[in-house]
Amino acid sequence: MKKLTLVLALSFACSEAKLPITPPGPTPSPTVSPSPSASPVDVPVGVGDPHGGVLIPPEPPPEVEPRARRRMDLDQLDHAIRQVTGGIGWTEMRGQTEVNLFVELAATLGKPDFLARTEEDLVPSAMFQKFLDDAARSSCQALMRDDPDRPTAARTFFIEAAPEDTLTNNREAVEKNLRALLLRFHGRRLAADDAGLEPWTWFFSRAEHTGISPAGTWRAVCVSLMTHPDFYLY
Amino acid sequence: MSMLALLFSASMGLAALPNGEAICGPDDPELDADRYLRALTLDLAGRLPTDAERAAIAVTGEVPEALIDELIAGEAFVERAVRTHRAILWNNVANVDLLNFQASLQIEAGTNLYWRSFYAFNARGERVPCRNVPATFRPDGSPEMEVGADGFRREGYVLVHPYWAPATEIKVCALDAQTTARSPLGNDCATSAGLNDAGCGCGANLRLCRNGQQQGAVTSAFAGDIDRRVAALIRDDRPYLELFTSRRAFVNGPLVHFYRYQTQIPAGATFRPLGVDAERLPDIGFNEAERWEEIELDDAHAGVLTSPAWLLRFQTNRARAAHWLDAMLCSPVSPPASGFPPIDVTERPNPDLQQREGCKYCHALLEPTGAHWARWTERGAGWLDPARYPSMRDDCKRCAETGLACSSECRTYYLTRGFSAEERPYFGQLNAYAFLRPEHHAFAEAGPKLLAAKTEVDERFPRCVTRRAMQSLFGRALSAEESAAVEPLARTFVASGHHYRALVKAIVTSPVYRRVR
Repeated sequence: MKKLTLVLALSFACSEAKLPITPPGPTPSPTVSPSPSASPVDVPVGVGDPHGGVLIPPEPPPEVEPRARRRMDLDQLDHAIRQVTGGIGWTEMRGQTEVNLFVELAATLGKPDFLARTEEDLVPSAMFQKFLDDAARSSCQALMRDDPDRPTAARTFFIEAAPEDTLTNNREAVEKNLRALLLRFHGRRLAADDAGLEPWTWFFSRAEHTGISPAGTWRAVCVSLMTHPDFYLY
Repeated sequence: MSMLALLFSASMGLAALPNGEAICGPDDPELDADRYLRALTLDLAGRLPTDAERAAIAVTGEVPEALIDELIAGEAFVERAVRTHRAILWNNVANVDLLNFQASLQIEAGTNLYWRSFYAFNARGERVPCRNVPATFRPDGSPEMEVGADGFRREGYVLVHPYWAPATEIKVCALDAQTTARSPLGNDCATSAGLNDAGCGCGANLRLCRNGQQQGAVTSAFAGDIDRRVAALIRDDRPYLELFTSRRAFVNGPLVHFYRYQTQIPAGATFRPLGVDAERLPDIGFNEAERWEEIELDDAHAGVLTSPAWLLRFQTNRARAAHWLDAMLCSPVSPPASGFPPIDVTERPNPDLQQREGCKYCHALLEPTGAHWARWTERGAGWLDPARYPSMRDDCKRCAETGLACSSECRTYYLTRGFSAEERPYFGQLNAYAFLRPEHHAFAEAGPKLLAAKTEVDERFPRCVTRRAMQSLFGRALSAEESAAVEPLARTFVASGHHYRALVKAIVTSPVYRRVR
């Protein structure tokens, strides 16, 4: 039994607490679906009954099965990264030319050319994760460099906190900024006391404890937000 | 809540666990307003929500319908729709060889002289370029030739403004740069006959020849034409069927140049007889690749189904039919699930694929469907006008039956040779009529427009368009549960008058879209 508990508990574990745990209460009874073999039985309820006397209540509409999340395609990902970074893409300079690596690596990352490949590979494969990690490190590095120099209203990362803010010296600003970033990067709107914030403050404090600078800590947060499934899956 | 979650919470009681607070539950499958907005903007505009959009839903806690309408009406949605249709129409023909290699100009290293290698053999006696000196001319206008130490006759060069970069001047061997329309031998220099005629050159501004990238500009423009047809349809919110019936098309500089000057010198694919009236095309220079203009084609055209990109991407009538059936009707041709019956190898196979064992399962459908393209040439995008190319020609029949030499037209477009006696009754008919049933001749004469018209009453079409749109939004093939949603959404599509925007709106506002795990 202990083993089963552990397996089930692990199946629910994720990197962050997303929703409050269901409060303890009476054990819900399992949903009962009408038996497929059940058929309406005509019961005489009186002469001239306009509805034909069928006593079985109408079935509720079937609950729609949730669909699986999908991965962003490369165009969406490129656009999304530029949006959250205020225009910084995953690029590199080749001489005087700035090369968009999402375009350069499109075939490798499964974008079809409709000659050799006709279907888009949207699997978040190890290959995809590797390049997303590269993209995140590259664009976050540039973002940490550029964002503090932008006017406050134009900032896309340091929205509620300054680069030198830490949990120790300005916890409130850090938490506020994390919440703003989670909304911007993942579309998750968290209240100040939301349990969903805890994994991110925990991550922030772990990064701080490695001894890196506050800017380095924020960069780690940036990379983490961008490589999190909530960013590239929807 | 998933079955697993239900089982777990029911049997264990999450909060009763000592570490219950640290365990996260599954997300609610119903997207909240923020995540729904995120999905909508990514799917309909290819981007994340803006601050203003997020602020708007913070007030109401729901995504307003007006915002969905705004997203679907936007230009970014048009771009997403174009992207979706590339996956349906496969409009990439970059691998097609359009220009004859004998018309290719090469550059001699060191001297930067432009010359044609194959042509040089006829013009100079060997594959050598001209001399690197300015050409001199005889009174009749032909270049002076000088015999060099190697025994070959060579002329000098002239300076030319090439069509691909008219602001520049390049050195071109004088024979290659000739601008005469007809050679002293009487050959039309704009046709393949001129390729090996020393009296023919590349024409004014080298317009008959190519150098490097020009072919890519044309194939890319063919793909761009399809993109623009799709974009125009979505932007103008026209009925979806017009994608397969409309006479709208788009041309840019490379396309206009190609249609005007280069279609009569065929390479891997042929555009003869040209299905576009080159004289009516707008005047756009080759180097104006970004300048696109809409044109109206003649009545024979049927939207993308007769566009060069479609005809070249699917170069046989069977390929055209197969892709149509798969992409637009979601009915790919396939053998029976039980497999093929054993084939008797002692029996001669039936030359009619509609009847041959093992082949008939697909070809009984492919042949009549492919017949709609009977007047569009295979391995190319030529148009066989009924006025000039009737379905049956006596001269082609006669030469096929008597063994007399057949004309080029007969050999190219009509059945003049057969590998079996069963083909003889079709001698003298257009190639596509071979083994075609009489009741299918109307398909050949009406063309792909009839095929598109039939979809109006073919229930598979709205279902398939709906399925393709859902697959595009969901990023994968539909599950069995999701497939159940196709039918009502397809009905919405039909009720809207086949408007793609209405279909997409119906999908993204349906429960099947909003519930995500």
